[in-house]
Amino acid sequence: MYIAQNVIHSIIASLIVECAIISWKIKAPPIKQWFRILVIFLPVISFPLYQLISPHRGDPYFRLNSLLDSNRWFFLEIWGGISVLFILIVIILLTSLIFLLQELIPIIADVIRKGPESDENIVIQETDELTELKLSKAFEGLPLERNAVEIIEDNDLTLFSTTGLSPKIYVSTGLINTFNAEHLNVALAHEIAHIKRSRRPILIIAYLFRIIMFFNPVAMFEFRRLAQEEENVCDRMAVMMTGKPNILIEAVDMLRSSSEGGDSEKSKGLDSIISAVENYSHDIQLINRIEKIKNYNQEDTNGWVIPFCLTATFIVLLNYYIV
Amino acid sequence: MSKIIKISSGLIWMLIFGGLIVAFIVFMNWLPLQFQTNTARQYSSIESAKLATGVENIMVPVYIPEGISWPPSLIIAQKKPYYALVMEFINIKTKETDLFIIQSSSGEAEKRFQKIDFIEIKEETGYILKGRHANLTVGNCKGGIECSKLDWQDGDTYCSVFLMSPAFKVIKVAESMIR
Repeated sequence: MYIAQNVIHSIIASLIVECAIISWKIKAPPIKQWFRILVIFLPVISFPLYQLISPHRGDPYFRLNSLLDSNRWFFLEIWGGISVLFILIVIILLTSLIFLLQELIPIIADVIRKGPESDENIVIQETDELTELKLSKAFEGLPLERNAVEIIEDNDLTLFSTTGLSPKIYVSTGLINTFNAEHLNVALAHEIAHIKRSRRPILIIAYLFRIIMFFNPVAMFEFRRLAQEEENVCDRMAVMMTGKPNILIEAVDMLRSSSEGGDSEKSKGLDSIISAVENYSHDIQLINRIEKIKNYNQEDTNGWVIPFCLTATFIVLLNYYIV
Repeated sequence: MSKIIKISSGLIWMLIFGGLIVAFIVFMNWLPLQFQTNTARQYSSIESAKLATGVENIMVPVYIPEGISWPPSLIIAQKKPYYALVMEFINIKTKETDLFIIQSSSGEAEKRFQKIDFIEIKEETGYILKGRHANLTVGNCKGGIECSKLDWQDGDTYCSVFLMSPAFKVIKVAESMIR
């Protein structure tokens, strides 16, 4: 009962949030994130909350007068006796499997491997003068110490950061060689934004709720959108820190060109298809980021509290009548 | 000012979208009923419930105590996950539920569909109802009203009759259901 209503409540919440984003023309990524969190947070608490308010909510008389009685669908038989409930169970099992394979196991494996300084990422201890000069130029105007940045031996354009008590930014030699100092400056600003954001761990809280809803395909989809939105939030912060939106656009575009045709020559058959799909999806994300950076000036981050509260109220009220 | 205009115009759009979402949900609630009659739904008459469930031997009381309206004010029937038919009869004056009949292929139905319940049970005893072993419960319901219930099994069908009256009347109602 909880699982079924959780999934349906998520679908409704997702629909309402999308409508709210369109209605109030919400473009700013951090605000969008707050709206999307409603889809992940509310369905977790809605069922126990509704049952607490009205213990008879599950009885047939409430169901008869409800807006949507899920049982009508679950016992509906389609395709030679297969019920909709059976299809839902299959979807739930698949989602749980994806959660296990794509999210939980990689996280555990990463913890066991003890962070980014693994065999795959060899940190360079000593760098040449030119690299140091380039880096010192890239650090200009950024709240960043040299010892917070590690350089890793990798020809690919790689840049990531770790959070925690002593956060670090990892830059690949490939990225340092390809990017000029200005590109490096905005790229580092983007990573600083990630570190700063980790002190207000909105994504971690959302992820904890997403773990509770490991079976829910809508929660999985929304959490991934939330994580993608995080990149836009950090791009926005990088622009605010450096004041160079066009340089950031160029840097992101350079990441696009580097990923085009990357592994396609090496891989064959199914691998090449998977690789092509991954590259395509990565490319779409980068294009979206570029579009978002171009439109930063049109974004309004004020006056969203009332729409947010109205949206949350609408979700809570509507889902009460969906059993 | 522009902030108020922005929120207001957004609210108008949200109301339009909200109306569309509610309409969509209502449609999704109606749609499965067009394909199947298996799950619990309300019927306007016992005949239509009989037709929908395909159950021929529905037990209907011939005797209805005075002051209770006929036909039933509420008829609910379902085929899945098990067969169940519920009839609610209200008091002509108070419009409150006075008689509640449940018949089902599962013993679970009584718990799931029962609308009225005892506040205090005075006595529980066995009773032979036209040759069938029945269970008679007597007690008080909401407002201190004397009420009684008779449960029995007729072949594969579980029956329950709950009446807001003394025991002899519930026995009379139950007996009138068995032919």
